[in-house]
Amino acid sequence: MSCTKKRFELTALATALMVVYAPAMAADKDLELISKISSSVSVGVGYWNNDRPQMGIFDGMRDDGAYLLLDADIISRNDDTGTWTSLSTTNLGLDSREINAEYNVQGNWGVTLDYNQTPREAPYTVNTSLIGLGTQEQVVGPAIATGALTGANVQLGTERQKYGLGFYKNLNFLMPGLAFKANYSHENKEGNRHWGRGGAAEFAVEPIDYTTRQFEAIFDYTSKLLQLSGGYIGSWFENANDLVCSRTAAQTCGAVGPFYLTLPFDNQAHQAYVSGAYHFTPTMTGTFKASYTHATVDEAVPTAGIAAIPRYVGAPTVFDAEVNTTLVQLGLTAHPMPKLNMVANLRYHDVNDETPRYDLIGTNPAGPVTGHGTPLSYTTKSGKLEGTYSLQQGYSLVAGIDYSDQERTVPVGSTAIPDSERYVPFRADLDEITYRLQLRKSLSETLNGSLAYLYSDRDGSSFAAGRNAAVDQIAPLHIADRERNKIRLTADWAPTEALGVQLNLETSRDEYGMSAARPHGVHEGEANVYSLDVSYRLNEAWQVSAWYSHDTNEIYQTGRGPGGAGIKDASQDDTGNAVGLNLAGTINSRLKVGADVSWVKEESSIIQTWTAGAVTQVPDITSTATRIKLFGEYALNKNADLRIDLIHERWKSDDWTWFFSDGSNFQYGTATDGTAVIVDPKQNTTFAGIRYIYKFR
Amino acid sequence: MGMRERLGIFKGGLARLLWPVSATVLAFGLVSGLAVNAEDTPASNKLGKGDTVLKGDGKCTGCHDDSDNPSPTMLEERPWILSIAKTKHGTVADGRTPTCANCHGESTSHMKKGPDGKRPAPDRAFKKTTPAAIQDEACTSCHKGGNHMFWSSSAHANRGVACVSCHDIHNSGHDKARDRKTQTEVCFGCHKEQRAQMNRPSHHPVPEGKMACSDCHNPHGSSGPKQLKKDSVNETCYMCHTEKRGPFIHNHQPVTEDCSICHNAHGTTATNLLKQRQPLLCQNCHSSDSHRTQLMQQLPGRSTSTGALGAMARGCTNCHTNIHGGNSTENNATVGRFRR
Repeated sequence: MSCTKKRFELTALATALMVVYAPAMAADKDLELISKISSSVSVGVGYWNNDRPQMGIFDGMRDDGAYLLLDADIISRNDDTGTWTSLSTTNLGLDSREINAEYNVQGNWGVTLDYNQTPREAPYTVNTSLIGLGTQEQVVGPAIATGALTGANVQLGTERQKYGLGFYKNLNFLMPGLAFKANYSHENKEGNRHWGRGGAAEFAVEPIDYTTRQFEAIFDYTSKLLQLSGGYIGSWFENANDLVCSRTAAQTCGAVGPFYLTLPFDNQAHQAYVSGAYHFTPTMTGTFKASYTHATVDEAVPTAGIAAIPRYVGAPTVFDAEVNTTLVQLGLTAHPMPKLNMVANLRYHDVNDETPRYDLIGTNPAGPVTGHGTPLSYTTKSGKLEGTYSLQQGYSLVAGIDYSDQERTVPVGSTAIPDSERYVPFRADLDEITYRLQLRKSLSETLNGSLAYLYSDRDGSSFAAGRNAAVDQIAPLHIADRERNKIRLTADWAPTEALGVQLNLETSRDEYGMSAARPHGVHEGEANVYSLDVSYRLNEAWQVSAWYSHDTNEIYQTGRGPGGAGIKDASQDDTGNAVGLNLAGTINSRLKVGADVSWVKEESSIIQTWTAGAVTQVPDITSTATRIKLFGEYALNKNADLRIDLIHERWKSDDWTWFFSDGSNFQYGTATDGTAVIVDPKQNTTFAGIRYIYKFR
Repeated sequence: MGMRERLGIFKGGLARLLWPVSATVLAFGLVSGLAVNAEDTPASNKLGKGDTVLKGDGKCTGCHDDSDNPSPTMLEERPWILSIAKTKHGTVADGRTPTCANCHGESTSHMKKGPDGKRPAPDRAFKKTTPAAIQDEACTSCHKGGNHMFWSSSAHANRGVACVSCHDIHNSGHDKARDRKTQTEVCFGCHKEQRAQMNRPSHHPVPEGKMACSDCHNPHGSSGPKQLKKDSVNETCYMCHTEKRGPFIHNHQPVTEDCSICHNAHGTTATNLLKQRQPLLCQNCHSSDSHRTQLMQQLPGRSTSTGALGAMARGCTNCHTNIHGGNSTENNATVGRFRR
């Protein structure tokens, strides 16, 4: 289907170009249009007539107003030396701008430079009297009366700015097939994230001021039979903040009273790896990878430096953590018979947390200790065997089996039984086996598709008991026994050159193993996705494509009822419907137009029951997003186009996350500062933009 | 608010824009000025007499080029054939680049019509009826090792997805699969579930063009699960969310194991890519004692009740605010519950 669309676009383009310029162009000019590298610069202005809190989270155009539209794609190649020079900019006038520059002598050496800016704005406004947003000392402001909204309106959000530098050089002068590449990136992430004071539900802001640097240096060796890759990857995270003192006006930081909220420590990881492939025969290839990663944290603990913060005598003043990860993987792909393809993989992955098991909470000075650090390690051995056998008439049968055996840390807090520090039951071993079967029809010009079935069964060792009889009644989602059944049907039908139809049906069902002793947790889950895509080329100038998608997700869980009385259960049922429509074509030799429409509706319903009391159900939630995009591009001359874009967006949601049942804005409790969160449940916006596009070679 | 304030270039401060532009241009100029040892480049594939865009293409472009023919021609039908000249494959100064025959075979039988008046297909035709493995031989004879190391054992290779199913070799300089703004058009051609998820209210900025599928996945195969670029889900997430790597003084077990226990990276209806609304998500593991037994409710008004607030605002994380892990040594049981 993509080929049809591609073919259409290029045909339409060539047709338009030929019609417009044919009288004036010689055959060599035709060839130049089609085969010579071209560049473009576009400049324009756009205007949004309203704020877009939900639809403009990431694109740098959240607020209403005018925006500079500036993009460039400048590229040249010296055909004699194979030297490429390029400068590409996207959204240069917006806070989501990207700049990429590259200089390379193809096949010899090259260098790249990148800049990438990504905003992320919270889709709501906070009205608060909090003082010190973005800092490590935050003061609860004067209380705001119910519904008063007398605080300051604050827009929370973060922004990433990432710089990258890359280098490549072939080292053929040392050894044919040897190459070296290195990449370095430096990212700053700054802003404020919605947080809590950690006591009761109260507003606070997490100050974000992160720096992440990553470096990799890799040697690649490639020959006809053997390929090797090996190198070093380093990653360093630095947080400019380590502790937030959240206090009232009457309190003093450093004294008793404020909440002291910790932030992530600096950390770093260093990995050395080697991977490779060897072609034993033209039909048999072996692959491998071995890597070792050493990740550490070595930081003074800020809460240990404040005398007013009670501290167990054995708690660390410096946090010295270490996680070492080892991966060994072997693979083999072979065609033992002309019609049979086999794939086998063995994998050993060991995440070993060697951080000391610190004493953290206890009765001074000699204990008992009632809270410990919990270093957690995982060793996973897995394997895969899969065969594909070619049958008659383009059919093939795929059968596979995957196996995973995982050893997991069971934290031990105290020697008492049950362990008072174990807030959920744990398992020391977790095993899963998966069987896959697929019948595939391919190698047909008109109809291709597949029908696949998957079954997996997960179980493990007996549960190490939780801290009390109530806690011990649950089987946590990710380690509970589980049976999974999944079926997927795909069909790709292209009855004519102009028409393409794709059908996709997927359904999966998880059933979790509950027992009389452990009756709580997730019992079952189900997911379905149905989609239909149609593409039709009306004629040489017009093409239309459309798709519809319907998906459902259901999950059912049980637990002990409020106060430990009776049993409660809850089922969440999410349904999504989405439609996309695209129309593109040429009105005449100079004018291209297009329309793109998307409509997405998400519905979420939760039903609860309780055997020991009445339940007031929570309202269903429906969110709808509609976007209509129109464009027209007019060829002013052979080097310049004028483009007009019109966009209309509608967002509507009755999500009550930030609304009380009477429809008023959510406001923190009466004993708090009264910070409120304001959400616009209906957002309708329209954009108009005009660009001048200059093209050159 | 005035136009000047609204223009993005001024909004973030002119210096903010000038700095990266200046740095880019300066560094670029510096590097461009470096001497290049042209002898390190493999011998050139210079065009011969009669060639149009690739070495030895004369015998092909004699038909697959209509510059001398004013009637409806093959060029109109397949205008992209010659556009390979705009791509890396068309850089004839790089001696590694292919000729037509390298990919399509010598195709001598294709040069003239058969007894039935029809022209046999080239030796290697990139059609739906050509097995993917045969199509891919044209690519993997050069593109092996490095990022393609695990291609032979990848899900794509073993499900009949040929290189040209995603890549457009005769492109006009922009291969959709390699352009982050158009890449999803290629991936969503098959991955419909992920398309549906990306349309949900909470998603990574993929639809906005700020991320691409290939930022996390290597479609050519990898040593990680789900063709992830790194060896595990968490290592992949740490590429951008490094602050979550820890370890923390107080670890939250699922966080250390697999981010996807709680998050769906492709998109969700609940905020922050959470698979379920709170408190249901948390109650999948914690629902048996204390306020963890709470029912969901929409409150009529302001409340400080822990048990009542689990479904509103930030849910359980209203109080358990450091849910990914805490670093406090305060001698207080609440710190172990990610409240400090």
